[in-house]
Amino acid sequence: MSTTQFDTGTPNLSPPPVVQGDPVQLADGIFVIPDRRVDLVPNIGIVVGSQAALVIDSGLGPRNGTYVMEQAKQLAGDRQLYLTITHFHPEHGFGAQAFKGTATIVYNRAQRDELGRKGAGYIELFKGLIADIGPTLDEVKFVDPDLTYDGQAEIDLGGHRAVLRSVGPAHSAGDQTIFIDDRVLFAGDLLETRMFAIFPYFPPLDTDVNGSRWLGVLDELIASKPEIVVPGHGEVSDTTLICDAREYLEYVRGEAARLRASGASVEEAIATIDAAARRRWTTWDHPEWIAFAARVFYQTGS
Amino acid sequence: MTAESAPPPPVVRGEPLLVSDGVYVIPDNHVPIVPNVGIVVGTRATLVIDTGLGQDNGAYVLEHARRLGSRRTVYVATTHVDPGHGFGMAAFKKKARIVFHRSQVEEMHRLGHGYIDTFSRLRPELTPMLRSVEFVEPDIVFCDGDLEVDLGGHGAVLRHYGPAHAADDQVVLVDDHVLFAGDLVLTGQFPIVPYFPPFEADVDANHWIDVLDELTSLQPAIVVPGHGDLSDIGAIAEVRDFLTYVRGMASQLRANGASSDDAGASIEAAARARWPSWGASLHGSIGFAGRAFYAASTTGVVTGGSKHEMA
Repeated sequence: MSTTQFDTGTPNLSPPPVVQGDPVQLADGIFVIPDRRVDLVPNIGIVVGSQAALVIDSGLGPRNGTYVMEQAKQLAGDRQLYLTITHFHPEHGFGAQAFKGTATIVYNRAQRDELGRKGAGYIELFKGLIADIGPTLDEVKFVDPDLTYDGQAEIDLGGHRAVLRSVGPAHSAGDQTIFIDDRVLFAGDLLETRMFAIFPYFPPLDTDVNGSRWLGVLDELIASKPEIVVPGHGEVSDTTLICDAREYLEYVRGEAARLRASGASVEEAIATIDAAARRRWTTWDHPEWIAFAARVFYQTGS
Repeated sequence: MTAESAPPPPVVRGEPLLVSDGVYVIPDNHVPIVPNVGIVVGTRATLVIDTGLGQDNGAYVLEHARRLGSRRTVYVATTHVDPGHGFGMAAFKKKARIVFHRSQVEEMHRLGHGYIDTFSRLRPELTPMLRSVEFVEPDIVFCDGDLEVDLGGHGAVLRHYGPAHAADDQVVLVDDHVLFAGDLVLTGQFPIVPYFPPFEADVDANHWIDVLDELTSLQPAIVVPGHGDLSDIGAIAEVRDFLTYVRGMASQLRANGASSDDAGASIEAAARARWPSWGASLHGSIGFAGRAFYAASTTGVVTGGSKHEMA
């Protein structure tokens, strides 16, 4: 999921969650439609091979999904289309319906199952949290993937090879990374640029976020040495982004454990960590997520 | 078939037969090397299971799949990369989405050309057909567990089970109802146990028995064997009976000090008498089965259960 001020009492100052702009080429045949740092807009990938093209994430709602599909078709011509989603959250995958019947939709099993368990609940959650989002969400229809894999799958696009890997639970139960040609990583919300990591801890609807496993996944991503890293939100970067994200998570984990061991209550620990992290990462957006991360790490006690 | 008559050429022919809602089979017509070919037709896509040998058979199968599927997206999978089953895949390249399990990619690279040499020796008249086979890379590779394919109104689960008959055995279960078993299950003939060390010794006969138990637990209503007439769950039990019989004899003979070749010969004679209705064309496979179990057995008598870890 993306970012929000969690305040429906005041007008939403963020632009509407509309995927806009032309795809930007990162490497031969590998494009991103940048999020422009707009809330509830993800970075969207389009990878064009000689035989087929792969779209990574759809945007929120069928209108964004249609826009993304049109952009993909312009790049791909009459090549076959695949769509995959980094994780089930609304702005990443709730536009998939626009692709149904045109593209082959590929999910990992954990993501498919998570969408089934939580999809409708997230629509209600977002309506409650975010002003003016209702009409867009009312257009969402959930669609099943055409192909569902376990663990890992590979798609040969012709000259480009995509490796889809199920790595959750971390940010979500069904997190999936997509590596293109072993060098470009689409990480979904496992990584954000200049934003605090999103911890979607919303009991009872969703308590699957797992900070400790998330750290382990980041270690694996660092070891895989991607040249180009596309985060879920924020500017395209490189391996330093993974290290930055890891440093923040490790900080919150360590502080939560230390404060808990010293007898601080969960609310005291959250307040301390929140204040300190805001001072330490002054250029990062969406500090409201610090408290969520602190709570999750405090509760898991590690 | 008598020993003197040359077997007919391995040509997939005839019309697809509807065996269940949306599920068709082009029968093997009891022609050696020709598999039972499956075509599953959904509202959005069509799945082909096995291609036949070579470009022409593959093209014939694809043509039927496109006709039945009204030219919707076609997926093609194979039960294992073996000449009869998967060596017509080139006809599908760029026209269908080729889906392999990772083990099938590895087997194609490792054994593909060796199979062509072996089959050319066994059936010299097929050498031109075999030499023209082109190996193509799949579009989609799944690496673990299952791949589920939603065809629209019909769902297929591709599940890797090897090593059993082969290192890359895969079954396809359609709508929890129709099982395409590949060469894990044959009907009306002796199972093919491809134990030809050193060229190919991937068959894991002990694990094969375990796999058959798992296939039985799926409770399919219809079982489509790799070769032979369509059947039901009883076909799985028959193969299991044969394999456990051979396993028991092999370990007994080995414990009694028989050589591998003597054990193979004894087992072949006994099995021919025991299953007289199973055709003679695969009698030779009995001895392979005997030697495979002989090699896999310990010096003691195998009393049941899997010895997979020793294979």
